[in-house]
Amino acid sequence: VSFEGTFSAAAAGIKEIRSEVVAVARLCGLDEKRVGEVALAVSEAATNAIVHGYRGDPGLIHVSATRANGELTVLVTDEGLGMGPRLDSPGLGLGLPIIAKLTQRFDVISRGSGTRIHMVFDCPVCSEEG
Amino acid sequence: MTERTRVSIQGEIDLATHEAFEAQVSERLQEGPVLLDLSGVSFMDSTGIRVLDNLLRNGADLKVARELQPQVQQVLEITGLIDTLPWADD
Repeated sequence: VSFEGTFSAAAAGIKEIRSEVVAVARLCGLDEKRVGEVALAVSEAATNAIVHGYRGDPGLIHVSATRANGELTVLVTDEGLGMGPRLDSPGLGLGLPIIAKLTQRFDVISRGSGTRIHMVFDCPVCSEEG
Repeated sequence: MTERTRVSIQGEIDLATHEAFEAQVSERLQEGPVLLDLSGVSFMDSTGIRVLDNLLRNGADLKVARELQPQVQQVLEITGLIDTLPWADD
């Protein structure tokens, strides 16, 4: 099970991004609590791309969700300016700490040419299907 | 007991909708104390947390109904706001 898609970096599109990744999480057999955690983490990552990557300007967000080896891996990548602090951030700067809390592990690569947030969730029922 | 206007919010609160959420609650707060009913909210991320935090920091006369959907309960717990929200039954 996997998903790969590209979305406009628009606030109105975050719901669709969540929805696509949630569908993969459900197919992985995650319970609704864990599905909610995946939805929240993905929402924070997509918000981060729009607010910090593109700063409200148009752009693209690439999203993939893949299950393998007992893990669900979600990548949210933008081609924006890279992460930077914003005093007017609409999320209090809570996005990455929330992602840290919800994922088994995560990392962020941020350059002038964009940001990639790599999130890994435990998905024990995936392990046999690889 | 303070008479409060119940404001019921429905749907999902994220970057696309948090401003409308804030506007709706703020508007009713101008008329008097509010009982905020989030039981119809199926999803909230940090943008909704910021709205609630802003309202409380600005001294809003606001109580929140305890009935919450699981994901909303979860984000309130993760951010610690669950401990500081003024609950309607407190």
